Parts: sequence; C-alpha cells; structure tokens
Amino acid sequence: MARELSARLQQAIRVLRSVCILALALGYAAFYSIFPSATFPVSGDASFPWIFLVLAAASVLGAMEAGELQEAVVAAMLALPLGYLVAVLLAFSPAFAGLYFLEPSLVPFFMARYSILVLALSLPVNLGGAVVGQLLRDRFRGGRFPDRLQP
Amino acid sequence: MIRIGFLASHEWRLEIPFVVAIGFLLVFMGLSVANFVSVAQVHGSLGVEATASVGYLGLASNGTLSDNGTARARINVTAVNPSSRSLQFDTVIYKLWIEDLPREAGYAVGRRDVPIQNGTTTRWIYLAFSGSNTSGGVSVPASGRATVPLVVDVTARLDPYTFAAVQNITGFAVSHGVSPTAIPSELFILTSLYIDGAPPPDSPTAALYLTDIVRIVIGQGTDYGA
Repeated sequence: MARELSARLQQAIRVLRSVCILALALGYAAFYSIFPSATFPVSGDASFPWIFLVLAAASVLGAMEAGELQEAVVAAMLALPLGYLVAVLLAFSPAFAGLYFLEPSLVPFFMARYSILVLALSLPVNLGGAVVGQLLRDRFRGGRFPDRLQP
Repeated sequence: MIRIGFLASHEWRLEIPFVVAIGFLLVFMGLSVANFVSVAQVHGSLGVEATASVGYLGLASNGTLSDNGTARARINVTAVNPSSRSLQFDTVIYKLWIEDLPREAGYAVGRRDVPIQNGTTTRWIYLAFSGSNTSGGVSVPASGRATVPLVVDVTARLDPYTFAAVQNITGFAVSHGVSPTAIPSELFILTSLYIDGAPPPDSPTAALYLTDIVRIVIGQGTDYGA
C-alpha cells in the first residue's frame, strides 16, 4: 500500500516536472508571439521558427522527464491551460509595478484571442515531442520504445 | 545499478538539459518581463509640454501687419520622459488659434471661426497656424527631456486667405490699443514618439496594437477643429 502510494506520488512529481517546463515554454512563447517588440528577443514581428524551437525543445525535454508516454501525454494536456495562465501572468507583470498596459479585466481575453494559434500549435508539438522525448529517453536507458508502451 | 536517492545515474544525466532549459526559459521570461515593464512605464509616464508665441515681422509704422509682412508662430514641443527608455520624436501635429477680436466685437468677418463657450460668454477663435512636422532625429534621452522647436510662417504669398484674416485681427487689435503679440491664443498639439529598441512590425497585416505598443501618441490642449 505504502509502496503503491509512493509510486503514485513519484508519478505525480514526474508529471508536474514535465508540465513545469511545458507550461513555462508555452507561456513564454505565447507572450512573445503577442508582444514581440516588447519582450526578449526583440523583433518587429513574432518569429515562427523561434516559437516552434522553444515549444519543440521544451516538449522533448519535458517528455524525457516523464516516466512513460502516458505521463508525457497527460503533461502535454495539462500544459495547455497552465501555459495560458503563465502568459496571462506575464502580461499582468506591469501591474505588479503599478502600471497598467492593458485594462486588467481585458487581459485574459486579449491573451486568449492573440495567442490562440500558439496554444493550438503547442498541443501537436507537445504530443510529437512526447514521442520523441520517450524515444530519446529510451536510448539513454538502453531499452526498446515499444516496451515503454506496455501498461 | 547505482542509485542516488530515487534516481538512477542515467536519470541524473537527463536532469542536466532539463535544468539548463528551465534556466534558459526563466532568464528569457525575466528579460521579457523587464522589457515589457519598461515599455509600459514609458506609456504610463511620458508627458508633453508645449508652448507657443506669435510674432509679427514687417509691421507698418502704425503697428499693423503690412501686406508683405509675416505672422510667425514659434511652437516648442517638449517631451518629458521619466522612464528608462529613450524615445524618438516622430510627428508633431499643431494647431494654433488666435482670438478673433473683430468677431467678438460684433463685426461680420465672413471667416470660419470656432466658438468656445465659457460660462455665459462666447469666445471666437480663428485657426491661424496648423500643420504637421516630421521631427525625425530628435531623440528624448532616458530620464530626460527634449524639445522640438517649430517655426511656422503665414504670409500673403503662402496662404492669402489666412494671412488676410490674421492681418484683419491684428489690425483690429492695434486700433484698440492692443499689441498684436498680446492677442490671446489657443494651442493644440498631438505628437507621436517611437520607443528606441522596440521595432515596429514589418508586416503590413500586423495587428494595430503592435504599432500602438512601440509608438506613443500624446497631446496637449483641445482640438477645436478647423
């Protein structure tokens, strides 16, 4: 019983660690895509290759953190709302300094409207990254990928 | 298998790129927030101060404006920038009205004046100077201020209709013992400035807010129209 509980806890921690990098990457990418001229790196227009690189790298690394493909997929799903939340918090950041760049009540809707493409892009990228990350992790462990699909 | 805590040795190796990536993301997010907050600070703190004075060149011996004289407005537009970002002046739009004294005295002047209701009294003003100036090259330093000086002339050759109106108003003032330079005026300015290091979008189909972020439009006075 205690062992099963411990295993569950470790599984939850692995998913959370995986979600952490995915959500940070998604939040940053969404924020950058909306305000490319006021973020880092600075550019006039949002760079699709940069957004894709950030999401793809995070998805692979996040999936490598997950113990198995199922965990990686759960993390990919959870990352979507949490990444959006990170993007909204980033957009609220001037408010913490007493500045209001946008009407505070409009920020969530504004962010949702203009980051919808990045949010939509993140799901297939994260799912693809989950498979690639598990393959890479499998190489490190020396096992075979199909074995990892077993329940 | 060698284990450190609950992670095997190969799993510790996997941790390195993960931690590095998290670190990179946090650094990029921190720099983004710093940049974003500094841009927001410009929007929240930028101020503009504008002053104007009207002088007259080529006055006749009786003090009135002669036909080959010049009405000259000097408008100084100063941007006060307490933020940590430097700015570049883009465009200054200006309008300077002078009080139409003959109209207020009840004369039929036949020109397009603007009424300003002030309690029970009505003032009539005439748009004598207006236009815009692209003031590229004038930069506003961080935590500093910079001024765009504008000199605008109205002559009979440049704008005969406006010049005739100014001549009529100044002539009326002189005939009533008022110096032409003492005629009350109203100034409206609207200026735009770009934030240094915040490039505007290149794409012609970019959302309008992207331009609004990097370009600040700020004004002073009331635009009474034409």
